[in-house]
Amino acid sequence: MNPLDRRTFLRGVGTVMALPVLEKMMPLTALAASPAKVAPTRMAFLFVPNGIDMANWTPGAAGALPTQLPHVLAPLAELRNDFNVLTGLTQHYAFANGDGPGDHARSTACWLTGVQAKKTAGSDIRNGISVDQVAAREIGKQTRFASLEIGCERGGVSGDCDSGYSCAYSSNISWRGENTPVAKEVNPRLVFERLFGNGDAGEEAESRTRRDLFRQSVLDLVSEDAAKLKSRLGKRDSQKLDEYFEGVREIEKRLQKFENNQAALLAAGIGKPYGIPSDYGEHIRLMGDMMILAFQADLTRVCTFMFANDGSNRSYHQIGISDGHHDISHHGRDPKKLEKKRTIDRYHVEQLAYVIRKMKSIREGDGTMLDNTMLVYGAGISDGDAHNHNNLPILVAGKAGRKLATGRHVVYPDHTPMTNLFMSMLDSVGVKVEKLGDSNGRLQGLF
Amino acid sequence: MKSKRVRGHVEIGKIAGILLTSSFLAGVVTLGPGLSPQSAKAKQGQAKPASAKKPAAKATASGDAYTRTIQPFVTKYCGGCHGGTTQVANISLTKDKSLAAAAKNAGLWQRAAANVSNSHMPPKGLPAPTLKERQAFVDAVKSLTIADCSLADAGKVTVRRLNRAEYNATVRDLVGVDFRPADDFPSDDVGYGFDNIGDVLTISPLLMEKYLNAAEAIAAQAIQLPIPSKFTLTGPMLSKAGSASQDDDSVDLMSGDGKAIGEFNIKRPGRYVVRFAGYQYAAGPENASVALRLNGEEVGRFEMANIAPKTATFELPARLNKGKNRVEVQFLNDFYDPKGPDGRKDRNVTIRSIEVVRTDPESYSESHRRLIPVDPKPGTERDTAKAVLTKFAERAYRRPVSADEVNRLMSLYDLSTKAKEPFERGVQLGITAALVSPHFLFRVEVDPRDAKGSRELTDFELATRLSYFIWSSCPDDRLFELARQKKLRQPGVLKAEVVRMLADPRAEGLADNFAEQWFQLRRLDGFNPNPKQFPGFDNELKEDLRTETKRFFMHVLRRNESALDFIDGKYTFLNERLAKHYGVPSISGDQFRLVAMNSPQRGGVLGHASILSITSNPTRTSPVKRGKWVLENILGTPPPPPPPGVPDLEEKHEDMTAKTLRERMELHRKKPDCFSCHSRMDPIGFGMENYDAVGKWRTADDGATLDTSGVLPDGRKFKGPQQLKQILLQNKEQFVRTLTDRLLTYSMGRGMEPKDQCHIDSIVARAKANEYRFADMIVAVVQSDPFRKRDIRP
Repeated sequence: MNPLDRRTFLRGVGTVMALPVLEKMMPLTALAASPAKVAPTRMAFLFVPNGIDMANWTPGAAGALPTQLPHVLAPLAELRNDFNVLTGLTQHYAFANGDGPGDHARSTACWLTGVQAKKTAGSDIRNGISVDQVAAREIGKQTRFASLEIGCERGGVSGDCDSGYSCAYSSNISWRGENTPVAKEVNPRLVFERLFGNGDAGEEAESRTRRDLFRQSVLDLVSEDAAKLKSRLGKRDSQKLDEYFEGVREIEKRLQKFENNQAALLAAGIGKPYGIPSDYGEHIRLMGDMMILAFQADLTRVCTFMFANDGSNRSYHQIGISDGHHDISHHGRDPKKLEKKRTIDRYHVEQLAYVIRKMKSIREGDGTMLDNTMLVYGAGISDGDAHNHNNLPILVAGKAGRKLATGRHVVYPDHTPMTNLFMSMLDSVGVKVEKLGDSNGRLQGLF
Repeated sequence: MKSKRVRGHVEIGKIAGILLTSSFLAGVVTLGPGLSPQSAKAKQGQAKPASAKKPAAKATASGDAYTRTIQPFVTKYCGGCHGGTTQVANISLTKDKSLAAAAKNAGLWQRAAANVSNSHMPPKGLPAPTLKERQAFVDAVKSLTIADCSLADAGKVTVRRLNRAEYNATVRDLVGVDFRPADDFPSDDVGYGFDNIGDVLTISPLLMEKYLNAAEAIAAQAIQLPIPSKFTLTGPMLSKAGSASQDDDSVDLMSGDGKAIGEFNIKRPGRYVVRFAGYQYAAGPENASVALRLNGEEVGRFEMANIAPKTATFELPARLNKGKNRVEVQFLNDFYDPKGPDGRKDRNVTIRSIEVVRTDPESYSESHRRLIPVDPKPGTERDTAKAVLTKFAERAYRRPVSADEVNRLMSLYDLSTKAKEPFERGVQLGITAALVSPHFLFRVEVDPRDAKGSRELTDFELATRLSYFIWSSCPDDRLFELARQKKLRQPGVLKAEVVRMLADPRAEGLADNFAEQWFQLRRLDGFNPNPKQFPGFDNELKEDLRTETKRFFMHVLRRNESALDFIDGKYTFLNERLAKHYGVPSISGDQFRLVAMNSPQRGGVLGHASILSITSNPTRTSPVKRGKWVLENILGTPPPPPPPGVPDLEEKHEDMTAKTLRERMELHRKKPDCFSCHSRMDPIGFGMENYDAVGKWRTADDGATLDTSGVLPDGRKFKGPQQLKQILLQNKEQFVRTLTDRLLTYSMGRGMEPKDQCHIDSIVARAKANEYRFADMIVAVVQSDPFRKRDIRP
């Protein structure tokens, strides 16, 4: 009865079927790309909106995860030795702290930064740098893409998105600088094209070299334009030009360092996804495939993935829920709404199970991709009705290169900064920072 | 069931209101808990003289507007909730100690004045100021900001990058290719309700990458590379079938089934000449003969009289398809006589080459000819490229370009030439660079060095602001020419241009981008009502809803009708589907047409199903959302966000058991500000309950009759949408002010500041004197100082 078992969505999506082929292609696999022949450790952050029904998420006492997992986590039962549930983590700066309402936007902005986002619907957005970007600055140097940002919902459409907070806050968990959210891609086809090129396989090496030379010259020219222009602009305007420079540098880096490997991939028989599937679950799974593919080809080691933007009022017709998710999340303890909420929460976890299972199916050396990954899954709001940000629903899947013992429910004192988890994760990949947001140490007993 | 719930909501509101009022007062005059409203009112009466000990009139002898009028008003009517230690909704009106302090805080005071002016404040049940007192307060607040518009500065506009809609439209108008490259760009962030606000539009590395890809794609699409028109296959490039042998320079056909084959991949289908070259080895009584086949069909036969090694060519015209075309030459009449004379024993055929030559004239796309009107004569390529790139850069940068800028674009052309690429490739490269340049991607307004204060925009800057405001695109030839002649700034010319531009099809940009965002129509994308409850609501109908409102908007604009028509215009635009949805008879076909609407059911955007849908939940209406929509977008007094701990926009009172209901009331009792906002939002929404969640008219909900009556905080009562509109029209100036604020925000890409009020006032006054004609309001916006000038940045 598990809808994932049918896997009908695989039809026509060559990506999925070609993975075993890909794995055999030594030059492409992450394992071979690393000079030490040790698979790299990846970081992924998967975000779900509107909190989670905690009563059906938290697995009883601390210790080994029980065979009977709570309702929401049940789809992960067979994988229970591959992840940890962490209880008690908190994003202190997701709370109002005097800024009034706007928990959806604020907690999303805070989720990976641990910083209190400046309350504004327009000018001067300000937040902190997120953990994925801190990691990407270091471990991203070695890959074609420093990081990958994906999701299933575009940014906000009109109006301020949440009680005076800009849409930039509620639709982005990844922030490369205080004022710069990293936009995400929501179309699997476009993710694919970005990773592997637009499929013009016939392009010959010589013309590619020539095109790269032309591109470089175009970029040189416009950088000069921008530099001249910047010197004539006021402060605020010239900040906008800085974003421009940053973008140009990113492209240049790719031109200089990395070879286009699309031809090799196409040789492996990988097809392009068609576009955004109409079924939401299929959309999530396909985006998950893209993430895994990017990890596998070692195109990036850092990924953020928003199943939806916070405050999302999507209906889940495919599982018989026609009210909006946000409306339902304000359940007011109404048993009917609570039941719908936990059904949605479980549906999200079913998709997560697909991603984890697939990572586990990919062999890397004598382990699996999952063994070499730290995948954080959870929400920035604990209870959707109370809008609290302590005791957040968080799980961490994967063994981080065998540094992390899994299969546990680890309970921390309530109000332990979630940023301490991020500090521990950064440590484990050798990225040294003194502090992230409100961190005040490392998580004990995890690594 | 449902309507009971709705009625329940009213009652809860009332109950909450009463309870609230008492707890409210408890805060003000420290009454004990549990007092009935009556006793609260009684106490209130006693409290009055206490706060009126120093009557405002007597303190007036000296002092400014602040100490004379504002402070006494606040002490008397506002301070109990918005001052000292009680700061309901986080608002304190007692912090400012002087006129100067209040002037710096003018935004807050303007909000207070708006709420006092439309009687939202003080809430019902508290001592109410007289109309005269209200007016005095509002006037005094006005005087906090600069009264003389000529002294107000023009405001600061942050450099704006093109948003997605503008990028698409600009590319369309610049190169004449309408393939919407920006649809794949990441979403633009939204500020102040619009997605064209300079401050929030950022460039991420992902977007930069998309800009580069899009620029290359646009250049490739706009300029065609020459395609060689003759394709020749010789010896080894040919293939063979049947009895034949192939060597380095030919295919020899040995007997009757031998074939030489050439395959051609044709990019431009059309008329060609198909040609092959070869000779025969003669034997027997006749010459060798061959059949020519094209894609399997015989198209001709040839007798080869020429004998090896003398080569001859044979040809015929044919039409080739796009893609693969297969040309075969087959030997037909083999002959072998071992007894024949030497050299004439064996008849064979040798084919040395097969070629196809295009005979159609070169044809170029419209965009190619637009950018390169005439092909360069040999030797003048570089000059032509320079002329083409100069013109393109001018239009892309929306201003004249310097020699240095052109030379740098030409350096790319030279690079391409050095790589032995054709002329067209070099031009493509220059165009690519122009389209990635910050001068194209950003709408740049550069101030002269060492300038101070504020300045008028240059003619080119003005042309650009104008074209992006009205067309969401770049200036056209005429605007560019007027700017070049420095005529655009002349008031008469400017006005005439606005009128011309509004009549142009590109003015639809205002409907697509301004109206869609002002009315929040883009939320329709994410609105999916429960298909079981609303089975007829499909994507086609959804598009129709959007079309109705946009057509209505364009009608008011193009006909220069009164902006008040947005509230109660007695007409709309319908096609058959939408007419059925509304229950309007005898309209057939997909085409939208103007339909008079004299029924009290429809008329004005509040009766548009688009707006009624986006303010509903997937399963039911939401009076709260509808009320909030009207407050935000019609009255310009958005309710402050709910206080912490209370979710945004939730109608929790519905669907509740008695126990939770009590909990809610407890909550309300503790937080008086719930009431102050919901008493504004909810009644408006109740007045619109005649429309269901997809905007259909109804008089009952699930069998129960509807209660569509509402009472505004100031006690005004109404019933149903018709009376609601009448009430809104009592505040027509407030609506026009909201519209003006929205227009200025959109046109300049920045939020309104207190000092802009003076400009808004004068536009509203002009509109009032001119029957609120909408197109004239657009003219007034364009002629206003903030639009025509800019502050010089430090």
